Amino acid sequence: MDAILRGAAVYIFLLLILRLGGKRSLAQITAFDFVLLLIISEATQQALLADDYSVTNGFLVIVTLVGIDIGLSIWKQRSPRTEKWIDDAPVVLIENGRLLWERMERERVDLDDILAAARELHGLERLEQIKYAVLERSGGISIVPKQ
Amino acid sequence: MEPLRRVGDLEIEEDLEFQRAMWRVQKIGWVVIGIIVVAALLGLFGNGPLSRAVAGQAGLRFRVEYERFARYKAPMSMTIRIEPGVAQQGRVRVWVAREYLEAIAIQQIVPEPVEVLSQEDGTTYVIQVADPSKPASVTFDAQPDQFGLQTIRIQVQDGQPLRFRQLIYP
Repeated sequence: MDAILRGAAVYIFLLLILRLGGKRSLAQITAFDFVLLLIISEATQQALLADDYSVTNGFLVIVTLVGIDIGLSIWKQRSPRTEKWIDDAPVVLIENGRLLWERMERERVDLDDILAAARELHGLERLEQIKYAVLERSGGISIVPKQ
Repeated sequence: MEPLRRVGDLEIEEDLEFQRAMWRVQKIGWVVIGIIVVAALLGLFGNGPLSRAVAGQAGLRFRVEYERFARYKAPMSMTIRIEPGVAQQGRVRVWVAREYLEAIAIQQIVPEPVEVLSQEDGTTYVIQVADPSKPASVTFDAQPDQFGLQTIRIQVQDGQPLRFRQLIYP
């Protein structure tokens, strides 16, 4: 019984805490973000499995995690509102070449991040070559260059 | 399916109303995270000044130092301090109620009891005291096996039992 409760508690807690961190929190922008992800998974492991190393316990935890995930995906399919709260929504940061500073500040994205994405994705050199920049749900920035 | 929204030439599911609500929730969440960190540093989740507690009662010739907040399966300790003159014939009997003994797994008792007596409502540990005219103490190192609010009852020799509570986090 407690394997299910543990799995559910960890799933909900992680979902909550990562959503509070915002889109950019674990988008693996720097090497340290990746390390942080590893440390979090290490800390989670104990709470998930406790001191029960049986295969059954492992299976139960996996079934719980995947089960909640399936359940939520069905719910998200039916309710766009739920989907937004769980998966977030994209935010336009540059609209037709115009920088939207307030949104950038709220999402803690700066100009360097946008320019880095422009270089990586399209080999763009200057800000004026960007038509649209969008902060996607994944935390990545996508760029539409001017023609 | 909802009609696709447009921002300029982009077909995108942007929702600024939601986004503002989300940003507000995030701000509140950060404050909550901050409060949790400070509370944890103070010991609200065990091991800190808020958690250290001493239980005693007028007329009882012992007191118990314990953790007010403990965590499931995390080591904790409880020390019973006995005043001078309580021991008889160099021995002190410490009785712990059954409910609490069922909720924890005792790892070790220091000093080791010379006798352990099982009773219907609890267990009595008989401790040898070197000099009955000096204070003595017994430490229980244990790990909680159950979570929730526990009521602990401890009795030394034949006096009144001391009652106190401990919250064990899951």
